Amino acid sequence: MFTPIWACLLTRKMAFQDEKDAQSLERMTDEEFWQRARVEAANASTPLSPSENAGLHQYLACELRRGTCYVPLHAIEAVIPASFSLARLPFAPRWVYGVLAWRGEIAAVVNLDEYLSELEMPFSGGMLLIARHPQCAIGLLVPAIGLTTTIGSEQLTSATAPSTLYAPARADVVQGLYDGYPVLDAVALLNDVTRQIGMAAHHD
Amino acid sequence: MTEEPEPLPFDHSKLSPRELEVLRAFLSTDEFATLPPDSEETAVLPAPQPVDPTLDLEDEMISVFAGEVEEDLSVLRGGLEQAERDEDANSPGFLTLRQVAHKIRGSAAMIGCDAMSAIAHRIELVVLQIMAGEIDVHTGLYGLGHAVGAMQVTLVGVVTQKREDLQPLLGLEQDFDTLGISLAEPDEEQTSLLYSRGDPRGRPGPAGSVSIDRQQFDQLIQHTERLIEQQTALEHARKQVEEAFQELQTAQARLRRIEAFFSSVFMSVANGASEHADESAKPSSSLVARILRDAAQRTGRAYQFQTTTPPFSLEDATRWDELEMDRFSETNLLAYALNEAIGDIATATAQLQRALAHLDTLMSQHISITHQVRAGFIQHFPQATRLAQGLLVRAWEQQALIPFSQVLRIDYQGQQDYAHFYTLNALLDFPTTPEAPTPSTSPAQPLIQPVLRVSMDTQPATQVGVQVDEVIGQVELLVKPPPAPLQRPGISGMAVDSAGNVLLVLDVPELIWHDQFRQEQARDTGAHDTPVRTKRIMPKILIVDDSVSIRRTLRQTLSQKEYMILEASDGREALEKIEEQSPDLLLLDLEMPRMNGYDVLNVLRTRSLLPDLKIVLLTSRTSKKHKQRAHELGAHKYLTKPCADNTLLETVAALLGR
Repeated sequence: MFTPIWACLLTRKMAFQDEKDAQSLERMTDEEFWQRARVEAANASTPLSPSENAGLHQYLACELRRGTCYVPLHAIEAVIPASFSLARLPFAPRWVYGVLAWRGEIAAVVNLDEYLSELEMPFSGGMLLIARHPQCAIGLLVPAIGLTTTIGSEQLTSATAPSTLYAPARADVVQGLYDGYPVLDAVALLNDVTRQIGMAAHHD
Repeated sequence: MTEEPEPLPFDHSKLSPRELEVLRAFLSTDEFATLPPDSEETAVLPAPQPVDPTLDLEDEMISVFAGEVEEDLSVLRGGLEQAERDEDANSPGFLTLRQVAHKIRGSAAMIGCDAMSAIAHRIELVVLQIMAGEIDVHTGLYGLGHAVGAMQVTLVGVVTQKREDLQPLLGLEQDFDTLGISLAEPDEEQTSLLYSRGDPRGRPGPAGSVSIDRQQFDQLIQHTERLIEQQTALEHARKQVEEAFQELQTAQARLRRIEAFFSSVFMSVANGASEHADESAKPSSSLVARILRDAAQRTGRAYQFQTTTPPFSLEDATRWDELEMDRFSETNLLAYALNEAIGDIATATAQLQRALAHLDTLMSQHISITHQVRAGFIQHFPQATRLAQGLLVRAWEQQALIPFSQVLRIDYQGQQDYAHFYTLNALLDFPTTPEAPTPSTSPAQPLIQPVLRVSMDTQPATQVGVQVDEVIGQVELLVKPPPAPLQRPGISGMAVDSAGNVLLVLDVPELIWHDQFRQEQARDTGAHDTPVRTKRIMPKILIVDDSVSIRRTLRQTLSQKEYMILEASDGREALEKIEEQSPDLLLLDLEMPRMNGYDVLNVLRTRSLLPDLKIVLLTSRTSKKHKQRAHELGAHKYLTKPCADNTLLETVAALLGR
């Protein structure tokens, strides 16, 4: 069961020693609140676990039309059902489905299937993974999600032949293959997505 | 206007002169000008016929036509005087006479003043014969004097009685007979030779060449030199504007700091007053309000918030009333002062924007700027979260907010006299609604989509129409600048409505500039198959003719259908309009001052301007050589004046694929 947001706030409010801090929290806009929350979370984050130190990372298996791909779990801020209305963003790549309001800020929503394959793959429901790029929140639409998997660096293999799961132009956002399926490089993916969305504003 | 009869079903060129005369007598109610266009090549000048002289013209049209002919008559007299002074067949006065007579011939025929057109034609022929040495100069000048007089008398009849008096024309025929002036048409080569003797305007130039006026070329050089001299001053002015802009930014930063300070002051006052607050007061934070609402929904219990809004706010300060000053504390006064400071900065911003616009105008006056879009620059002022009031409109499935400041009014009566017409769907790159829904009240009638009249900051200012799918209402929303990757030209911000939907906040003029820029880019790169973002519902037709009355007549005819009509009075103006307005079809006269129709065709062809532009030549020149030349230079159709309305409309519709 999800903890209601107000309970989170009350809990968090209790964590503040200073009453003045609590007042400032109440005055915050949604966007400021979540920004503050992110900062607090980053400050309170635990050091890397022994497994992470050993190069093991957790990935979320995403079921795409042409197979599975793995998205680094640390890059995902939230996973929500894709049942929301989107505003269309003009002059954007075809795989950008629009924008939505996410915790007080505007996030671009990308069909991960279309982005990776560069083929038209209409989205008919699934999940939205919210990831964060320094400039903008990005939502990745996927038809379904699977389990989380821990993958070590040494388990990744490089592609020896062109993959049917992603277009050659997307090879830079794939850090390797695990069990034959692409494991995405979150930083490269988000950088490329934001760069292409930005560039599309000035080019057809 | 007199209606032109249907074309005759047999070949007139096979008839002998005598047979033609008989035919004319038979067609006593018709006009000679309706004879086949190539009648010029029969070398027989049509004789004046007793046509029905009653003119089916509106008073306004007669007034426009008469005014134009009056002006032309004074030019004719000037040309005549010069020719009389020179007493030489090469006198420039004869060229003037011929050109002006040609113009009157065309415009008079177009509005049905056939007698006047016939007199003008006779003046042309006499001049050509004088220049060819076939008529003695003195005899010719005498005849021309009579012709100008006959034209004046005919014009008086048109103005006073709305009828054409045929007597002056018949009298002129007799005078010419007496003087031994024969009115046979010269052949084409002879005419061309005569033009080449000194009339660059009437002569078709070689492909790729354009006649350049030496004097105007010198002026261009002078202006360029002056521009170089003024460059330093202009750069200095630009630098000043930039400095002012930086100062403004500093002031805005200072203002933000003051704002933060006052916010804390207000909050402390608010907290002090909270002990006496009404328990029903709403929380000022939307977040807290939502928490309470969620809690109430979950538990079924109503939660109260134990604080109040501040006793006053900046909003109160805007309702400042000096008569109620005793109600306000010192903090209130400070708030009012802050509000005034914000107003001052807003004024300064507006002034700076005007200064930038002025500077741009200054630059454009001295630099030969062909494409305003390319040379212009869009100065963005730093934007923060702000409150925006505007129209909530729908484009395709998307709602958008257009600030009131951009919309002059909403039109519901279809397309009007906009300089340009756009659809918001196309400007935003959205799909165009395939079929607009029909209103439930009158299913038979198509829905008229509202059109927003928007003023464009051009020199001179123009008004454009932007069609939207629906105007939903008006809203006031908090607008934020989009994150950097999501910034788009023409999208000044994004807002979230009460249902959590994102609304685009539009800057329509910038959207239009951007659209034009993209089209320019597509044209420059030769990507003609690039989808055109601007969807024009009405095709644009540019009428190019030096005669006001012809332009007016053509406008009236074409306005029967859904066309947007533009006008130009000569070739140069036509080229400017073509670059600025991108018409779909050009209705082009051949003989015009400054730049003739052939030169326009040459420029269009050599510079590959608007390759999809359809070109119709509408001219008094009827010979095959002119037609061939026009087709070689890219004209799609060749019509001769006077042209029946149906012929014109059908030709235009066929070329535009309508």
